[in-house]
Amino acid sequence: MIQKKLYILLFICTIGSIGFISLLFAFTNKGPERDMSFKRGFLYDAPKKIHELDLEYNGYQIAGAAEGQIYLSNPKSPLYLTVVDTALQSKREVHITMDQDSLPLRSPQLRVIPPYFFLMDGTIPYILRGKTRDWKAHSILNNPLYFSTAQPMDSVTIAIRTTSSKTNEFALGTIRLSDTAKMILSHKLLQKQVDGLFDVDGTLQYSQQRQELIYTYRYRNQYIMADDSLQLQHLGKTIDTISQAQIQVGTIASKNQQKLAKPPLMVNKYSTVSENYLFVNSQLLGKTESIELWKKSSVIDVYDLVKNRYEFSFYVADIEKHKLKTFYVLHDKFIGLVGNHIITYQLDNRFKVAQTIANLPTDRLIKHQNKKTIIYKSQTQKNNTRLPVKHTAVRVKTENL
Amino acid sequence: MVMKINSKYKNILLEFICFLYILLFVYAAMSKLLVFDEFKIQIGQSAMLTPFVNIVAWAIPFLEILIALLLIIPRFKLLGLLAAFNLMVMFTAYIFIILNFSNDVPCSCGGVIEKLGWAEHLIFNIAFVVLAAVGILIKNGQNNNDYITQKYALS
Repeated sequence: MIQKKLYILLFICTIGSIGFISLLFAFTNKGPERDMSFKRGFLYDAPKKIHELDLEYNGYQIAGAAEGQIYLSNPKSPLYLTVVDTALQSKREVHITMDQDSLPLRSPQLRVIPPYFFLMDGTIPYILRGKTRDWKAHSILNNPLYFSTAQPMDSVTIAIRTTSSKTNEFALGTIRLSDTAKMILSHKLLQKQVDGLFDVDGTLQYSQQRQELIYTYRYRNQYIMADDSLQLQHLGKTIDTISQAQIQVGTIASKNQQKLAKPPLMVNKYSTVSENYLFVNSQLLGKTESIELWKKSSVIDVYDLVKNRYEFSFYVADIEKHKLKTFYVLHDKFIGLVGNHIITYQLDNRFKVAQTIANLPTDRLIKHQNKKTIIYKSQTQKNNTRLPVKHTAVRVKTENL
Repeated sequence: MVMKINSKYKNILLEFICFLYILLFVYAAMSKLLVFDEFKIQIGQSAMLTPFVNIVAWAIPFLEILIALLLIIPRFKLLGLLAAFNLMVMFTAYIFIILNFSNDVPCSCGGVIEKLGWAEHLIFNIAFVVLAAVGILIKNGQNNNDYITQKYALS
């Protein structure tokens, strides 16, 4: 073959091969799933981004937020917490000390619920607890109880999801941290549809306000609400129609492993609970929604857990092509991690309930509230009583009326 | 004389390229076939290949072995190099698309290559594409020379 002809042949081969793969991609890339059966409601006065801060690292997780502080943990170095204020103005580091020399690292989870914080790893397993006053952690799990995801309910009870030794499937339960730690499981809460492991995957949250566990399924349109003794209170529905998990599980016999054999249809990627509201990041595009907007933002659906109904949705914009990863809601502030950034969105007044004011410490009350609080301050000074904050606030209100 | 040395080096380079390709393809095919169920699941996880899991999972190791055989047999060396070039370009295009346009980035490579990051994988692939192209050019040059010598010998 003449050299020139050969160059042409190579060129054709290159273009042909690239073209073939590109066509394959074009035909199989369906884009976001559109579910024609539901329509999201967007507020005219939608939640707006109020603050943004570049954390210069994308591995953070939100360990908690309270009293104007956001606690960010880094699973790669769980003993160093980054604390940011809710206005995203200042950033500081907190070092957790322990009553042991070293800590095995596999999948540590950190939760800060002032006055307590918890450092947990259910694969090793350990649970360390300490107070946010001095950040000293003490081991408090003395039995080897394994779990995969955990949410502290109070200082001695942890809500968990674990693989049940009885069924080899996931089950929800609680660990009571007394002298001999005990695990209580409920096999009724998670409902198996495919294999009892992948199909029941979801986000476990605990609502202090409602004293309820809320578990949002990842691959179907349901969330479970259960009380402290693991009794089902309500089975809620998210707005889409995917009631059956659309996943396919394959087995690798040589490794005795189970894996998803094809990309699953993700419904609810992540969720969080604040007071009486559930916030869900859905992956399904509803009727009449813009694909363009969908491509550069994430949608959050808000549910009212008292009325058990869908309220409204709002978009959280991508930053530098990164999508919203995890989020947390503190009263009327929606806090999210997007790529290297932390952002806050302002939610409307319905999320700013009276009880939240009562829970704030005194100094913040003075800064944020009106005359009422000043009266409240002078009142407490005059009486010099040390009543719980909540009670005093209620009393001030009635006096003002 | 200069020509001869040159062609000698070229021949060594050609044999070396073919050897590398045979090594790569036999290794790649074996590491797929040895854990075939796992490979099939990994192929399935890629949204682009999900609809053709069974075809792709069998076709790739089959093609890799076939091309290795073509490269071993002198008569089919040029054909083998062309096929290797095409397969490598397709694979490189696939990686490029997955990296830049796809939401999920699954990995389906086996053995040592599994440890490579996607960016390194891209460089690795491009290097092999260039090697195949060089091999094709050398082999074609040799064929042309053979053809000329044959023609002269006949006359």
